[in-house]
Amino acid sequence: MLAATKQLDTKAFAEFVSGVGDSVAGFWPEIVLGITLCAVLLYDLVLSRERSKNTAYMAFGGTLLSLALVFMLPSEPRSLFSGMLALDSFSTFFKAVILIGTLVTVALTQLDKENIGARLGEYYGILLAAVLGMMLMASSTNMIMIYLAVELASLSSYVIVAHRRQSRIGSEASLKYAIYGSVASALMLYGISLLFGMTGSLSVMGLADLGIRMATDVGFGIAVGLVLAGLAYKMAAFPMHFWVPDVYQGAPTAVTAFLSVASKTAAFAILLRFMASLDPGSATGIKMADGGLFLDWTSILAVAAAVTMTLGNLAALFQTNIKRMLGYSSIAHAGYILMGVAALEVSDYAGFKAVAFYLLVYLFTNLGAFAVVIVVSNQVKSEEIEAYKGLGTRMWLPALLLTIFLFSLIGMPPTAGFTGKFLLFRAAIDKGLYWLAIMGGINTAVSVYYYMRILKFMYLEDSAEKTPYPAPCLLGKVLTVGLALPVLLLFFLGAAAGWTKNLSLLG
Amino acid sequence: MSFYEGLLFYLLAATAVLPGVMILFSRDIVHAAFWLLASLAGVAGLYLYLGADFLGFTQVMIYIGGIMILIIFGLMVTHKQKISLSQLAQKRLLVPAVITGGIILTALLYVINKTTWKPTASEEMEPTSADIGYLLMSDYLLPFEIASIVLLVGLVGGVYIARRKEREA
Repeated sequence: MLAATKQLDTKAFAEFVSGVGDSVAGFWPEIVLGITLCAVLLYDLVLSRERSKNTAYMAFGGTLLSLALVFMLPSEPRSLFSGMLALDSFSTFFKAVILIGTLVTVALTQLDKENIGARLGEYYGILLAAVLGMMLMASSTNMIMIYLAVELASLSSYVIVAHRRQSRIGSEASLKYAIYGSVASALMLYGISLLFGMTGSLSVMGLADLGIRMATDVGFGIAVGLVLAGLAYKMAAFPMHFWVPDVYQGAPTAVTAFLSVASKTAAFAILLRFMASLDPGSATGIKMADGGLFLDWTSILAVAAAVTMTLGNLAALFQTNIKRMLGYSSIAHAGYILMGVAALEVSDYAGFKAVAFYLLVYLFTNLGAFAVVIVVSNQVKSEEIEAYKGLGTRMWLPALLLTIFLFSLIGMPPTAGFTGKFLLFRAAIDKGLYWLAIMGGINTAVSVYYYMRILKFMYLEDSAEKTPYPAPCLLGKVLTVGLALPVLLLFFLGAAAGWTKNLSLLG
Repeated sequence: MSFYEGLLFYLLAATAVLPGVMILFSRDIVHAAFWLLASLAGVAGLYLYLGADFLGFTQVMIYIGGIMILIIFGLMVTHKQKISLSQLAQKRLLVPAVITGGIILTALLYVINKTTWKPTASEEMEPTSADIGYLLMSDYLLPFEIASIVLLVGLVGGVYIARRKEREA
């Protein structure tokens, strides 16, 4: 820190400047994204209103460049900008996942006929701002930075949720999202202020020692609980999941797809980093004033996981709109992933790998499912599950691909969803959370019903009309097939590829 | 805490809290807005009392000077007929609200009393602006820059949502 003196300490200043220069070297992906964001907004404002397709190319190009730079980041783990961000393989992995999701989202937006031509310049600019926020979420190690990153991602999301031709349903979704979101961020900020008051430090990594020192304080547990509540909102997990169905249904489908994968991934990245500092493996948690353990973090997370998946699955059973159903399914999946977080073991990164791998699988699977929803609704003009009757013969390719994605969401071989779920369940069992694994098993069985119902509609029920629909456009084909391939390939390569094996946190 | 110090603190605290209670009981939304003004002024006073001079003056400039004017201006533009706030309140939510509020209050009181806080500010009153300035330009350089993007999104997003109706018409 530079001290406030009347005369500038030139030596400290030179050190500071070179420190910033070093930090920038590990910050290029975000810088590229920020420049693209401004370029898209300026292009739309100054140069062209009509050719909105160009802004899509710009957004796609910028994201692609950013993704390339993510892969070129130095692998040496270190801290950037005086402890604001961590540059480690953990954050690099999650940044890559978020950017891949963004690339697909940009393409999905172009595929979604409902939105084309409707002022896409601002839309892409704000989408990129959301991505920037999520990338910062994946690497923040300072609580001010975490709050700002979450706020940037949330604010941008409220705006793009409202981007829909039918304005009423979009505005309602956006308003609900914003109101729940402000409550969640207020809770989180309050938790952060309490933590700062107790520890005098804003660093997440500092919580590790302080957690032990403050072991007798119930206040510490409540403060951490408040921060977790704010994160649960972004993960769509209990008890902050109420916004999901309305927002998922009301938002443009491409935005729904984006929120269901990128937002969740970024929130789980923070959660993992946060919980790793608290080390749930050692017996820490909310303690009573006399020092007796009241509730440990593992149990709290395990209960949240069980409740989240059960609520999501039970509500999904009765849905008639496919986006709403996928919304509830997304809540259920937040529950499965939380199972891996509950099984967190800092010493051998046990839960980390399962969670990271599952988020990668879920990225392709869910984006694929939403891509098919867009392709179908372009032809059928409906998002109701009823409209999928007889689709197996009328649109054979999308129907087949949707089958693959739904199999992966259930967790059936030969799809990557099976490998992902297997790793999560094994992490829970290794940790001794047998009851949680059994809950997960029951929930998976329940979920088979509502996923299979769509298959039944597509293949076993006939619609009055039999003529096949015209084949989807080239972009639609490329996207849906391109997303189905990794879902199948990750099943065979998943365990072997081991991308998630070497993840490590800056500690 | 000397007697006068204590007196000053409780006066300021009352200025912050009592108008807050009045907001809940006022029947007219414009009255509620003016009570909010008084409450925010009380909070600014508390900041100054605690020696956070920069924060106190920022509170006055941004909340009382900017945001309050905007709220009242917004009310003037949109407020065609009197909205009775008591109509909006739902009686059936009274019991759950009291229970939830009670639990939160108990938890907060418990936390405030039982926690060992770690005071970091010095006892002496010193101007804080210079230190804050140095920190914003050194350790907190990145949050400072990211805040500008948050503001950009707020600006563009606000216009974007507001102009949507025009586009559809």
